[in-house]
Amino acid sequence: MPVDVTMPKLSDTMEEGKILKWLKHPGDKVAIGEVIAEVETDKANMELEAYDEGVLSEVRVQEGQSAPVGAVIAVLGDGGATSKAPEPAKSEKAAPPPKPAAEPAAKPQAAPPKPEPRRPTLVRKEQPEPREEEHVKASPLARKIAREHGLDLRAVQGTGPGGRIVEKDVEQALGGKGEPEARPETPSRPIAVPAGGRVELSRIRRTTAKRMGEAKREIPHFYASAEIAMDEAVRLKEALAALGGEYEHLTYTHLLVKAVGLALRRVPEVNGSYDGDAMILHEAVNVGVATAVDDGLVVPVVRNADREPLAAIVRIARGLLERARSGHFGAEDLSGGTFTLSNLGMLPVSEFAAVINPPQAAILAIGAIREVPVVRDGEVVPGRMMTATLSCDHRVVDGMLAGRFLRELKTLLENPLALVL
Amino acid sequence: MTYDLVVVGAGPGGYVAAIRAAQLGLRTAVVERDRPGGVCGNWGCIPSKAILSDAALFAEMKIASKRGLLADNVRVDYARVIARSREVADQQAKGVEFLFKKNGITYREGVARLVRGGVVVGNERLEARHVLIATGSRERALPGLTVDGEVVVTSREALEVPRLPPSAVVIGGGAVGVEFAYVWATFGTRVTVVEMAETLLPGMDVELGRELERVFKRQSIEVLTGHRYASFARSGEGGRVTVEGAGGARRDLEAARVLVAVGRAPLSDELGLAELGIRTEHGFITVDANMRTGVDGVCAIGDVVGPLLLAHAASEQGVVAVETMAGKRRDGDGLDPANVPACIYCQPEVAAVGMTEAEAREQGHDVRVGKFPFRSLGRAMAAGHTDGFVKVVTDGRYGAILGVHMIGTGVTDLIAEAGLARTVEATVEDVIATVHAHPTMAEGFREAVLVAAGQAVNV
Repeated sequence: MPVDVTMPKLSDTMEEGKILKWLKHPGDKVAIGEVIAEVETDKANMELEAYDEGVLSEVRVQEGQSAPVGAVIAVLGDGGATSKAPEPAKSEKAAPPPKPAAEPAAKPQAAPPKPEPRRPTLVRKEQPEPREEEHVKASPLARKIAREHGLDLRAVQGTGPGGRIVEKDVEQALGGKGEPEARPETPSRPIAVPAGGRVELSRIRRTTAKRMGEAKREIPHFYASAEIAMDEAVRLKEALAALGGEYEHLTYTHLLVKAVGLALRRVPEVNGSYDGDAMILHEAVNVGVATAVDDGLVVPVVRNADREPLAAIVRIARGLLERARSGHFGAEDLSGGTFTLSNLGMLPVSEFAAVINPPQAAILAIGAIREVPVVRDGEVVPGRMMTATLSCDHRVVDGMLAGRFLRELKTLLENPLALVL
Repeated sequence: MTYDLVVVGAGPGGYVAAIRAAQLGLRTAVVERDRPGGVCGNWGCIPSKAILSDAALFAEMKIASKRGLLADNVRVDYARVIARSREVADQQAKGVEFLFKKNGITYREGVARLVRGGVVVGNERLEARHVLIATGSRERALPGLTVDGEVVVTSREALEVPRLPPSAVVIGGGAVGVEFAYVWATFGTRVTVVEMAETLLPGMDVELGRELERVFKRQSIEVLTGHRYASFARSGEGGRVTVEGAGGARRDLEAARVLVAVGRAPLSDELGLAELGIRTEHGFITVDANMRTGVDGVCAIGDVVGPLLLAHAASEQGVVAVETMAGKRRDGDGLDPANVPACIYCQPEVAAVGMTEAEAREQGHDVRVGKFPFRSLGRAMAAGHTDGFVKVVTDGRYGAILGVHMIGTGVTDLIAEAGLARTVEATVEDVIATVHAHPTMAEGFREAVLVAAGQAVNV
């Protein structure tokens, strides 16, 4: 009596699932509760447990392939000949229309109904899912409004005390009357997103989604941060900008590109890529700058950032930015990067960790320059600090290397004359 | 030496801001031209509460015999009342000075003027990365009414003059006006309160002013709402105030003392604001949610920015400003005026937080009002404090508590619960689910919410 195993629906948004790995193969015996496959959904990677015992007689969706919710992905037999499965191995044909999550697995019509159909169980592989709204910090009023609108509070950004979700946040999430926060100047216009609904991703956004997903899954990231005193760099930047001329449009990003270029020259191991059994060390130091454009994220590349003088970097970076914004960049502009810089310092971001841009070995994330009390020579004095966080591919970059790179970067930015010499 | 922060004004806004700054490690100085504590500590909240407590006690003593508590010859030594009030104020000032020392805050006496990069006090220049203006406000004047400190007074003189007038006209039925009207009337002065608006306590929910007027009349205070001040002339030992009612009907009021209580004006004109490009509107400094003036490194808080004019608002604004300077506060994360309670300390007391019923209707809420009179509350009956009520304004859609308005004995303390409910965004269900001890005056809040939810128990 063969039983179909279907792709279960985990969330409201899940439409299909991808088989990452079959842990059982045709002919293997399967017990109830045993994990038979790993499934990737739009939310997380899950383990698919068997809800019936039997022998896996047929696998209809191969590893790496996706199947819509409700589609038959495998068949459990009773241990007889595996060829007993009646259907030909065509998943499209076998796939019934998607069913809501609570439906029990579809069964072949020939099979008599089981007295109590057990449901397929999906177990989150990584951290346990927070129970409902239990672990979300939200005010009673915000909870109530969210509940009545079926809004998932986990998707709402809280602005109340301690990041608590308050009425205003929920109203805003519902596209309602809550007045929007005064927004700092962002590098580009945000994409207009209709309240609720489904927005097709732009081509750039799709690529980013795919690459970032792969990078975060594949690359064993580790992160190292350094606090950098920016008082001198601020002074230098303001002095140069005041000079005008070629420095008229100097930004902190330009200073950082130069500093990163020089630091990579001094610690060349960070300027590399992982390639199977080898590590590729790049001769050129080409620093990409993560840049928000209307359609998503692009990374125009400043070539030879270590050798180009600061004034040239200002000119090159400005040209790149203009072309990126207008969407008229050349193939050269976006290729050949050996390292990426992501600067969110113009926003109230104190620090963050970026996802590596493969095949590069590291990416540097820059937070805002903050005025903070610092201890200097045993005295508390005002200082301007910036946090730089290096995300590294641990397959080729070790902690010691990350530390050395950050030390060089810190030295350069704290004694920034080297950037103009 | 460069200070991280120089605070101009040591009132409840300035001194709290300075202490918060010191806690955050900022090198801080405070400049004050009078005494630490500001109007609140010296000429407002605290000394007036000393006098008001005495008046309330005296009022209880006068009626004690009805309850079987017999005391003969109960009288008032008003000079002693005033003297004690001054002692309390002195203690406050010393307390603030001590806190400055304890927190390592530099204190300078003098008048500060803002310059680029700091302030100038006399011949001294204090360099500062940030300047916080917390200069506060002074009593507003009326044309033709020159304050002489004897017949014509503002609240400031009224707190010092040790003689009780046989009769008084109070111009202005706001917080300050009704408090002095209550004090003097309780101690035996014949008092008339003149208010331009249709009810006492303009700006608050109209039912509060109406209830206060009802009780005031019973306390033999004459209340003339809908009357504006027209003119004043000295006459004999006192003066004659001419007021004008609806339709231009004039009336002369003779009194030994005239209290001008028509609001407060910002103290911003001697700071040199224009030179720095700091904008003002009718003298009130314009600031954003984080109390920044728009000129780099200059913030302003409290009465000088208006329009709340409350000590506790100034203190919280000071914390907002300082935490913003220190990079510890998000943009736009300021003080929400809708969560700032306002309290008045005559008897019955008055307290409110959030929207009035009229405001809620104007904003298109699905308004559900619940009103619970204290006379229906066991504790109020037992204590003989049955005047007043609790009124809650809620939204029927989600049960949000939009505003709470109370009048009665002890409501200035009861309002804290309503403030908490507003701040945490509790709904009517949350208040109903909160068990209130019996018998207490605090039950009034929950009962009023029950009324709003259509679940009234005790009315």
